[in-house]
Amino acid sequence: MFNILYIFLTLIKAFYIVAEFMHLRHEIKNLIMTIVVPLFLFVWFVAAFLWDGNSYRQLRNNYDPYKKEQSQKKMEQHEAGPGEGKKPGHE
Amino acid sequence: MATAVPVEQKWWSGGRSPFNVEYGKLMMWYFLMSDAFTFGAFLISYGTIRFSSNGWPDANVVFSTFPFMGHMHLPLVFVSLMTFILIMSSVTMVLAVTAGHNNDRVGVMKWMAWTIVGGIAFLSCQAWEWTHLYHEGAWWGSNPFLNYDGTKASTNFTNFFFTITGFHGFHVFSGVVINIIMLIMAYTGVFDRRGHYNMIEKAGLYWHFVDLVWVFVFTCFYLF
Repeated sequence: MFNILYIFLTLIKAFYIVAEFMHLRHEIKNLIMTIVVPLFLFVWFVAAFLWDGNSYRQLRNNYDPYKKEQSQKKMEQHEAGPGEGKKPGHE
Repeated sequence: MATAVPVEQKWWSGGRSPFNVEYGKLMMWYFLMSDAFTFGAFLISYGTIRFSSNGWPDANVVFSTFPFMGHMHLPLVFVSLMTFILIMSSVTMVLAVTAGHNNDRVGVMKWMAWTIVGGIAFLSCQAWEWTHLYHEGAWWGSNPFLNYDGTKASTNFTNFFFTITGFHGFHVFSGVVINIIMLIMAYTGVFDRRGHYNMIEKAGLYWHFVDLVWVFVFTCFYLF
């Protein structure tokens, strides 16, 4: 449930940056609508693409059992220790 | 600069700008809107890939270090500091724009200088963070971190992280360059000769936008 709160607070902060810092709230309505209305496309973008990603995950888990099995293998913990990872370019 | 307008104005009958802002500022808004879609595309593709993955690294583990603190576990402290630095530089930018409205050259220069300091501080923090992650083995195509559940993670996480924070960092860098140019122009009296400080407003719009994008980058990469 914290996730919903984080997203809510992010949107509040974004609103105040645009409305007050960028002064959009005090422009005339023509300009406000020109900028804000196209951004509502994001509502559809976010919903559609995240839905799609989730569906792809489920399809793969259903139809590619090998991949699912590989993605559930636990790794040895020490590989994540700081400084112990492989340096890029030194394979 | 927007001027006060009577309510019953016929905006679309010709003879005046229906947006009541000067050309350059309107174009800056259009540019920022298109840039918002660019960043939006990046972040949405990140979200799509993440939703299509069975596991993902834990941000509280990946981003838990602070300069000079050794291996102390301080999740998200450093990135919160970076966020604070950027929002403070946005505040000083607002003060620079306000000083510009009052044709106060010294005030504009003072607050622009502080905004530049904030931008450089943010970039330095990001340079430290990238260097630190690089030494832990994270880079494009290389991900040493495990998923939440201890399974092996793909390189999607690091690829998206370095690409998107890098793209944002490049915007911050451009913003700092623009702000330095504005400072020099204010210093040499260009705006005084023009009689207005509208350029500071346009640079300010860009700078606030960079801050705005960071809010979303921060949420997507560090909080989830």
